[in-house]
Amino acid sequence: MTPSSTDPEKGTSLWQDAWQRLCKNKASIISVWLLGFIIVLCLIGPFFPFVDNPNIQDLPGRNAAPSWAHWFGTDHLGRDLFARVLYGGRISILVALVTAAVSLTIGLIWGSIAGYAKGKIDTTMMRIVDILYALPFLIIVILLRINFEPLTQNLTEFIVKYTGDDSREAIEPITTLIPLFLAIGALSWLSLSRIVRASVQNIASQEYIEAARSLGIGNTRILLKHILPNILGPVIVYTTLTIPSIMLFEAMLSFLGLGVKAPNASWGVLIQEGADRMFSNPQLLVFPSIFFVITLLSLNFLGDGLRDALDPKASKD
Amino acid sequence: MLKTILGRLGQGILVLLVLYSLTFILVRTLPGDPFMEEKAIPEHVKEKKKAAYGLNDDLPTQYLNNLGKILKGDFGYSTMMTGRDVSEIIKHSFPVSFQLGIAAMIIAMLIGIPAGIISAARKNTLIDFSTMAIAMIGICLPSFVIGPILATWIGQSMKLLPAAGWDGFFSSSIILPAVTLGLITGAYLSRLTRAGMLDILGQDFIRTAQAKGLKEKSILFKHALKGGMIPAVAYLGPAFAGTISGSIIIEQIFHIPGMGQQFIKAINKQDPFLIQGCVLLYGSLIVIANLVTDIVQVYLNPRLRKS
Repeated sequence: MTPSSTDPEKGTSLWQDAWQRLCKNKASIISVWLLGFIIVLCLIGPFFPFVDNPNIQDLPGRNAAPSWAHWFGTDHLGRDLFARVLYGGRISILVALVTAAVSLTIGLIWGSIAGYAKGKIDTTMMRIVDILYALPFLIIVILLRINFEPLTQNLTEFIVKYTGDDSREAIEPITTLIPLFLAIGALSWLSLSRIVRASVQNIASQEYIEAARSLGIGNTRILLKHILPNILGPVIVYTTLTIPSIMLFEAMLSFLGLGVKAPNASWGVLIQEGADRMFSNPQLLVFPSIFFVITLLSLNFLGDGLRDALDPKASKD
Repeated sequence: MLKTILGRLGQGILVLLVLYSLTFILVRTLPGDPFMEEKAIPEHVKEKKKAAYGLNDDLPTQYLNNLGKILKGDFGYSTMMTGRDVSEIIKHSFPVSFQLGIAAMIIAMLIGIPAGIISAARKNTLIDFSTMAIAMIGICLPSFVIGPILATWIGQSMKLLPAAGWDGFFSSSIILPAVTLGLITGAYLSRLTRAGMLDILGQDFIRTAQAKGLKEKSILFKHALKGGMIPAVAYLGPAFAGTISGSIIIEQIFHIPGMGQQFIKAINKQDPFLIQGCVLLYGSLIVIANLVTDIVQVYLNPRLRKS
């Protein structure tokens, strides 16, 4: 008897299964490549010499059509549009990721406590979610965004006090984004918390959790070590689907002039500037919109693909 | 059933109370005050103005006074447009947003529901894939991209339809904004209709109907449609409320004098009573929409009637 024949067949883990299912989904794979391309372009692109400084104005060369010198042409102040789209992408992606992290943190904590605690705590927490759910989302985000505004100033002053006046220029662009992270993050965790709660409840009622509890393992440890790893699937799927909706929100606020503020420019700001000059200089709207829409499409297709791969039962057919 | 509806009504009132409190806190803690003007006005004048609007009392008194007035239907006066009643401003601007929302919903339903039914009936064919691909693009193409494109292309270049302004519901000026606003809702609707229809079409009673040799048309419309529309109907109510608040963007693009414009102006000028009035109206719309949705769902789904 050779040892190889007694070797059990190599099993595939759930994650490997999911990965294989995802690879079969053409739309998702194309989306991953497109997303990767856009992200790499925005992150690394600005380090190359052929990308101009997005803030240098060249008034005689304003509103230029696409050319070798300016791939996407220039805007109404003569700034290179290609560079602005790349830098804008950085801001849009940054806002989306940080805000998604904020909403993931709140949603995960809220949902898992509610799902694990059960009873009155659960009912109260989920009733709060129900009520927040029924509020006009865009309106509240706008109000929160304005309310958090002074935070920017205070935070900048606070950091500058420790790092010296020279760093103000580097810090200010980041701190001006914080009200936006908080305002959108403050309400975008609601659906996530519902999903986390349902998953936690589902897992918590299984025997191995009871076994863990009877062995005297504490609640926090059970939650972190035995429950959370098992609900990662739906959480990943839902976070992937939350990111495009956050990007959309950021762009919508920026379009209304209530989102990203100068000196930063996100895709939403570029789209708004382009929309104002659509008649005279359509490329100003077209190029940022293409990047924005492709990113949203890829994220949505990827989210759908991940859902089919990680949670085959939940997919529609 | 009556109990469920009364329960929902109670929850709706609670939602509005929370919304009122939240708005009160958020508006009163705004940086700056409603009487900031380019030319600074003397402090004592400002104090008098504040007193006239009741903004000098301590916050709990203001909170209660305000709530009492609102319950009596008095939404206070605008600080931005001196002397004008908030309810009067809303009475002028809300119907515009409302009509725009209705038109957008009609367009959304005309596009979304047939598209969803067709792709469910032709599942996994080219028609299905292309319809759903278009729907996905529709979801990702935000109104602030499609709006300016339509306004410039159809409105300004081809001069087919007005690119801006408002002449009422039965005029050509409503078409472009309503289409822009309705597209995304239509795209969502088509996805929900497809999912709901597929769910029903996979059930045993449909197979029985097919085995009996019923025509496809009668299976689709007589047997499957009522049940298959449940997810889409559940979305219609909230979608309508969302459409009305979504028209803030559309009103900005097409220069339509609706409530969204007033709300953005009020935010920029920090007009406490106008902000509060707008927010409460948006909130009530959502509450009413959810309530109507619940009732319609019970009608469509007999299983809900028993519990």
